[in-house]
Amino acid sequence: MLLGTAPIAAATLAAFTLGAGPATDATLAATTVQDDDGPRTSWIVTADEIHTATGRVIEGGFVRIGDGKITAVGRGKIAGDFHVAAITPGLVECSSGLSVGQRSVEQDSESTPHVSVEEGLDLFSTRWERELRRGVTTACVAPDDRNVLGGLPVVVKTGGGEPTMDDRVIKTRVGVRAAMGSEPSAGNSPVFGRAFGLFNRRPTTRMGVEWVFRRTFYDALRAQQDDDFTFEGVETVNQVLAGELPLFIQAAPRQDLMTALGLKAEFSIPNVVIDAAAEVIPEADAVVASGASLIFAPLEFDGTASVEGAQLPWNAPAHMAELGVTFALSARSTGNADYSLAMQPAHAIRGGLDPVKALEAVTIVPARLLGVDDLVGSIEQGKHADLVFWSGAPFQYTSSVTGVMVGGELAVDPRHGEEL
Amino acid sequence: MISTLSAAALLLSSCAASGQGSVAAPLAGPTVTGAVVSAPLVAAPLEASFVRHEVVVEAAAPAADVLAVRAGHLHMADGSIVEDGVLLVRDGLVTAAGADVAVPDGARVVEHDGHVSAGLVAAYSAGYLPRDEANENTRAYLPDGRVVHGFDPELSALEDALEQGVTSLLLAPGTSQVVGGRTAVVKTSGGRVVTPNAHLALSMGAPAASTARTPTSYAGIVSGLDARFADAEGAYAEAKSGNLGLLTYVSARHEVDRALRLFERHELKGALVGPTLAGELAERIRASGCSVVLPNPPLVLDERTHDAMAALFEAQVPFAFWLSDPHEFRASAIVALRAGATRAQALASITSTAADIARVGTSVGKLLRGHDADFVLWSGDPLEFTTSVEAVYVRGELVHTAGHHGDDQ
Amino acid sequence: MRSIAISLAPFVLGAGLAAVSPAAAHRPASPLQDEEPTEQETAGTESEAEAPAEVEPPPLLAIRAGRVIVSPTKELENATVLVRGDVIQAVGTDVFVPEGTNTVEAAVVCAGFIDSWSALALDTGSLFDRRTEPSTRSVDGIEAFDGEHLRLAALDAGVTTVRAQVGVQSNVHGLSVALRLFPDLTDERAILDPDAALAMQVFGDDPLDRVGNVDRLVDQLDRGAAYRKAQRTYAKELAEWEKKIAELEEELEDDFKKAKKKRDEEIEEAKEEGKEYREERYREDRKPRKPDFDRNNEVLGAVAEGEMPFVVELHRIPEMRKLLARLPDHRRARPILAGVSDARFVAEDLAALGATVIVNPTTQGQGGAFGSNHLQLAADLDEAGVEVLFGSGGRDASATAALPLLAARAVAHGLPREAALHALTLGPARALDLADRIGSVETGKQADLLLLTGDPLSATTRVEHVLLAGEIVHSAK
Repeated sequence: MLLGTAPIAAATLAAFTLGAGPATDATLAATTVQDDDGPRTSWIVTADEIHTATGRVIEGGFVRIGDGKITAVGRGKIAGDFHVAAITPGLVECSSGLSVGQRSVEQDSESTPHVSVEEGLDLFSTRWERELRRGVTTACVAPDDRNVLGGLPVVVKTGGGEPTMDDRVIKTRVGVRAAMGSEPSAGNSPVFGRAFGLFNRRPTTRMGVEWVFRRTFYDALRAQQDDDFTFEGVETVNQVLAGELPLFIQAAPRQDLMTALGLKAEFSIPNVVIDAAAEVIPEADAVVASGASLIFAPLEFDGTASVEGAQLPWNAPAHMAELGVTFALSARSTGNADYSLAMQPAHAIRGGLDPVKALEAVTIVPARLLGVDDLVGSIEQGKHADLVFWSGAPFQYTSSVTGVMVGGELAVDPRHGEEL
Repeated sequence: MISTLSAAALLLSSCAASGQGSVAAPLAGPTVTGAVVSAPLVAAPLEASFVRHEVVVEAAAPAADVLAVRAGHLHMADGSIVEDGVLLVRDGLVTAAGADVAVPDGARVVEHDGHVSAGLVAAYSAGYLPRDEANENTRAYLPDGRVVHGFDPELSALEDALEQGVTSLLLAPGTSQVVGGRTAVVKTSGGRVVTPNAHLALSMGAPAASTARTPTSYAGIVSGLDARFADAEGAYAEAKSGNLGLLTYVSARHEVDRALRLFERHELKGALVGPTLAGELAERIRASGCSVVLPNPPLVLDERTHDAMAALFEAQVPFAFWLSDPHEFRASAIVALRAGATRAQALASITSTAADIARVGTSVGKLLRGHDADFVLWSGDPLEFTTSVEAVYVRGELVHTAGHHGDDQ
Repeated sequence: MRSIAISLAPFVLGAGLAAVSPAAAHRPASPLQDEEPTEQETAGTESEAEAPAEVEPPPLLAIRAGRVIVSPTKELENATVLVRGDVIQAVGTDVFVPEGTNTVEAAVVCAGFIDSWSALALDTGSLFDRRTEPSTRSVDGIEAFDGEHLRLAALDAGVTTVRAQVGVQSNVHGLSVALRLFPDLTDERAILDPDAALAMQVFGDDPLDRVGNVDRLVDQLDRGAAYRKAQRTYAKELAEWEKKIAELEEELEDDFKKAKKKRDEEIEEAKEEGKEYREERYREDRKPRKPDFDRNNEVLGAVAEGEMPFVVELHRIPEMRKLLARLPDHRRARPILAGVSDARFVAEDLAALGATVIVNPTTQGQGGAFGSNHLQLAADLDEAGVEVLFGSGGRDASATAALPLLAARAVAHGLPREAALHALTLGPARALDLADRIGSVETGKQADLLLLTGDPLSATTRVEHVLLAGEIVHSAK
């Protein structure tokens, strides 16, 4: 029954499908031709290794894609459209920074939790394609960290279809973005003794940043008690307090991390994700105790994060894994190919992280943190056909990305021998 | 008709005499286009027009003579070209244009071997207001700001434009205000205002998201506009109902996309003053009913710009060009022709379509009965680089003749 | 330095005489040539004796056109251009075309356009090199591979030849190369003239600096002229000196025997008198010293003597007047003035000089850094009688493709059509000494031709085919 024992003819297969049960010859051998115009979105791809991010690795298997969705995954030797060495799910970037920059955050106030970053997207930017070509198929875009509470991130596909909101944005109101570092106070100057301008206001220091945060949350608590008191964004903040919306807090250096965890405790915020996490090892106990999840800042060769100059040794992810902390890896859509999201797991593995966990940290875990794990993040039937094709075992320095598929469209074709 | 007009003129002239400012007269709808104001009824048209009043109504016409222009090639409003055509002008308006038009006895006749077309119209301009007039930066929303108050008929740039054949142009507020106010269309000669109230001008481009004042982000721009168009009052209501046009500045494709989505939410449409690559969204622009005013393209187009422009023409999106350097204005239409526009589309982009986009298509931009007699005598086909302006007429008066090079030092 | 000691005379002379006589035979013809004797062409005479091998003549190509623009002032209707190999063999309305000849039809045929100052096909580093000298050669800075799309855009626009110049940020740029835009720029036919002209620009921020700079530039010409003069003088003096030596040696030979006898007598006398015999030493005039070879002066000398034209870019009235004031000292030099933004104020002087001018119309209506309208300038200068050529400015390689369109726009400003075409074809060809090979559709010239769909100055005309050296190298898509 199982493969390996009997000779396998091209037409016969003993398939083992994940999800819906054993597939029949008919469905699997069905044509991959599609009717409508436009790029092809139905395929059969075979590979030596399929890393599904569900906990299993399929050796010598196939993925069948129909109309941009994964329709079957299994073990077996069948005739496919092309063969690759390894397949992983399309990578999910939790913290991309792919907004229009300064104009993505409304700075009339330092606390704008209700403003969505949907209007701060430039889907025509070439950075999307660059990310796609490096294997990132889903990315979360948050408002820039110029406000303490910047607003509501969105989740965007990096390719597939047309660059329109309808085709690309798959989730809005992903959570609320907050920042603890020095960026929110940069550009502000003290009110006293100067000509009045928009940016003569608090915060000008980290104390001020924390003040704005606490003020907003205190106001929300007050609004819960006092019917006559309200402010713009109060519903959003209350959703955070209730745990309905996660709170993503940028906090890289140790003191910012402690501030963030302290605020979490102070307001009993159920669902907190620390973004640009770096100096977690010295405060490991606090991190564990808080129950917060982490999104690591990009691992770089010199052991520092480019955020606030915080220290980020390569064994930090491995250490957190041992302690059972939920974390994702991130590349912040850097231009530097050495630090791209496809390379981050390799660095983390070198720092001691288990390869399976490393894969999950750039696929299913970020998908869960963003609340899109029903659509992306693993190779399972029914999910988007977002796949990365590798020349060898994934996330090894000796391997490279040879192809990328998003929504069933081949953005980078492994058959053309492009090396990335 | 004449008595009503005289009565109105008397009413307005009394307002003028008493030094009143702008008159928000009920006649100030888009259908009443410019004519000459005359405080005394028989004042010479050119001088009286320097009095800048909002609503200008034509006084009773004196006994007029007829001007007849015999043209080797007459460019008609529908895009066709009539050989040996005749244009008849009386009281500053076109009375007839075409092939079988009889020249009345006693008419003044101008013979021109070459081409005659309507005076060129710019559906958007930059640099034709005194320097700071387009830079109102303190308030992001100024729906009743009227750029016509900043109009200076003596500005030398206007004369430069006239010398290149431009007879009407749109004045717009600067691009750093989300809602800058109301655009105006003026003539380049004589200081006449064709309309003081063409569009409500919006900016959804990068300059409108400022760090000097809120909004500082696109989200802020959109939420501000959403709020104002949702419970629309005043200028916003006028724009929504179509009584007032809508002109939106956008400098990048994602800004075009953002504007189109806003328009969809509020059932708006208008002119997008936008980037050359807007053509990559041609189908959506077409579906929205919007038109596009493009910046002057380079003489030699790269493939991408060429394809974007061609997509715009193919999708039949109405398009016109900015006016900044007057030498590049007509050249833009020629570049469009070379990129695949039809001759009719190309010439219309600087005449009739531009006038339509500027909401003055019933009075300028076409050689059609009842329209202003603004026309240009060209040395050759206006869609050739080798052609130059030989003479320009505004409202039937000769206001420029070529042939004085190098006098300026 | 040869000194002839009379005592040693017989032996030295013997050797010297043997050396001297052939020296007279290889006196250098020009100061620039080597002193080695040139080889005699003996090979040719031998081969003539044999029967020549059978070689097929190059193929014929006939181009039939509704309109052939032979030169800016001459056109033919319904004419044929017959091309043999790379050369135009015949042009006319009744040219005999043998049967079976490859034939192409075209609406209009004209000579390929020439960009008198282009940045195409040059390596960027060389283009903006600030330390070039008169002897720096643009041909050494050719970038044959990158930027191909810009060259194709130029061919699409009808430009077939360019004068490319490196070092445009220095005072003296160096030597220009005249290039034909073969798609494969490594083709040996691409280099029409590796050293077509010397180019320079007037430097300086304020007007006085710039006027002083004109002086310094013309001083360099003076140096070149002086160098040439010194070489000629050297040649002359050398010849005289050698003549003198020969005469002297003849004299000496005659007196040799007498001198020997006298010497022997004197030695005897001295011996008898108990004195030492003292030699009389004779020194002839010193041999003239050859002027040191200076590669820059070589170039400047060639320019000063008019062997090569030179291009000077300048803009303001004072510097133009200064140049005009100093040029009469170099009557043989052939200047081409470029840029010349304010030239309309000195137009008559330029015309009186018979000047040729390169106008660089830019795509902005107001021309570049000096803010004048160059399209108008071209018309004004032509009207005053100055010969106008068009260049694309020499800094932006993408500007070449716009040149024919700008020439059309110049017509709108009053430049006659013939002058516009002249500025793109025959004018630059003549100014750069290329008119024997390109610039018009005439017998004997290279077949560098454009096959157009209409009038070359019309906005809607497209270039259907471009021929270079008789070969179709580019066709419209």
